[in-house]
Amino acid sequence: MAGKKILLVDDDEKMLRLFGDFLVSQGFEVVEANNGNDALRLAVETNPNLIILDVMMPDKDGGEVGSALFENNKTKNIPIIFLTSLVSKEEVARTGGKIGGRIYLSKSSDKKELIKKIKEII
Amino acid sequence: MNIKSFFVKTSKNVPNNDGQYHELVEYANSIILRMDMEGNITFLNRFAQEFFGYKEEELIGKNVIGTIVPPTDASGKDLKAMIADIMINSEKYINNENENILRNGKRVWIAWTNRPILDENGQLKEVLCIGNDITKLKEAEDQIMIAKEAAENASKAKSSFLANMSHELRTPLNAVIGFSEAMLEGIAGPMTDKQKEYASYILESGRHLLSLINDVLDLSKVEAGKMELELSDFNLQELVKKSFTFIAEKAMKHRIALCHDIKDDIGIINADERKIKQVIYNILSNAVKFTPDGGKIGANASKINDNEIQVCIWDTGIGIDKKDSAKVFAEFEQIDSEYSRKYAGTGLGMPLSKKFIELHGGKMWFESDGMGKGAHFYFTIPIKQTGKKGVFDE
Ligand SMILES: Nc1ncnc2c1ncn2[C@@H]1O[C@H](COP(=O)(O)OP(=O)(O)OP(=O)(O)O)[C@@H](O)[C@H]1O
Ligand SMILES: [Mg+2]
Repeated sequence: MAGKKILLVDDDEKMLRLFGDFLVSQGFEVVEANNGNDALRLAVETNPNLIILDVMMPDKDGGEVGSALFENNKTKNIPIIFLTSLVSKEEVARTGGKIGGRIYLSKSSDKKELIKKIKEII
Repeated sequence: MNIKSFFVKTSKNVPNNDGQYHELVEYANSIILRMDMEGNITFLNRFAQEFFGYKEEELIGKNVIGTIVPPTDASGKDLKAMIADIMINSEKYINNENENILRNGKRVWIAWTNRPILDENGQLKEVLCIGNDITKLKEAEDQIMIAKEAAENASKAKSSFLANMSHELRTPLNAVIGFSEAMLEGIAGPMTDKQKEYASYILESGRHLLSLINDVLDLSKVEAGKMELELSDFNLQELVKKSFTFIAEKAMKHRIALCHDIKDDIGIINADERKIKQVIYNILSNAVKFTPDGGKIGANASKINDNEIQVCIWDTGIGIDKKDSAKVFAEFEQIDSEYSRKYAGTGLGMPLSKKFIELHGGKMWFESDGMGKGAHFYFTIPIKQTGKKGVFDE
């Protein structure tokens, strides 16, 4: 998976640090954005293999960013994993990690779970 | 006479002439009046005159509406229509409570017994009304309703507050748990043993707090009626067996023997596996918590009828005194005895478990012969959820 690029989007700097450093430690190249507009711009500029998107963000939330990415021809094929603290990892387990066809993970999910999901996708 | 026949039917102590009836009616401690088909008053006893504040001649021949019955009651109910309806559907009003009004404008509630009086041809001629003042009772009832509503609103407000709080609490906790985990995984570089030990305490406490928050969130969801069952088929027997492994380590440390004997005929049930697992785990974790060294914990389950299984998880622990039994299933309550004081917990495990079981249409209870005598926790669970729709059902 070396050389694979992930765009990580979260308004919480701490979460960027936590997941960013973890993904780097796993050998990914990580691009970070702390708001929706930067995320849309960086998605076009850096063309990542995967986008990990926080759901609850001020101004543009994860759902809106996801829709905008999908509407843009340059970004519509980039897979997305939604990452949220709205659901517990038990709830994720119960829904099979998918809500409405979208891939979800809880911020309290095990890191192994996150890596497993990433590997399934890229 | 109709009044007579009415009394003859209802009283054992029957007066023997019309004069005595008259006296009885006049001095009765109840409102007694009659009205004709139009609602005009044809008779009212002395008690009624005093009660409503009118002289006899002021009311005889007058319509009840506008005198002793207001056109609408305080809640806006059309009493004029009600009086008219009494003449048509008199059987519906044999026992009726409605608002009345005194001469001084004060509104009162009266419980009426309305008896139709028929003429020779069996046609309704008049209505005999006997009334008792229930204003005080009604006020008390209203107070209770208001209090009940306030309590319900408060509990709803509490539920949504808790749900919001739980989300807010999870965010910082994710950082606490996440970073201590990351440190322990060595992502931030190597740590000394002492640093590892401290980080593991942060992680452990963070996880503990998170599980409490999840319990509180679950409880508030159940209370708000928002908890749904995620139904699937699973093997209950396997689940109980697996659950025992959660407490195996602690049991071994305290030399507690584990015995579970589940008959094979139980097989597959259709229920919310995660919730049932949590119930079993909650009961078992109490069992190890409240059983002193050298005790025993066991489980058994059996089919009690075609669609129900009963599970019993028992221990030989500190037991539960009769006077404390209400506390077991009360939220945030723990029994404060010299035995149990030293045990940690929040008092959410049992109330939440009971709610989970009841969501399935089952029952949960416990039995204990008292302090030091151990406890048996029981729950029943339907094999199939009938009537309720699963998420994947059509
Ligand atoms: N097996 C048992 N033996 C004796 N007492 C019990 C047993 N199970 C429960 N209790 C009593 O009922 C109380 C409520 O139990 P519950 O599981 O709801 O709370 P808890 O175990 O104290 O805390 P929590 O489960 O939230 O961590 C306990 O504090 C204890 O006093
Ligand atoms: Mg408990």
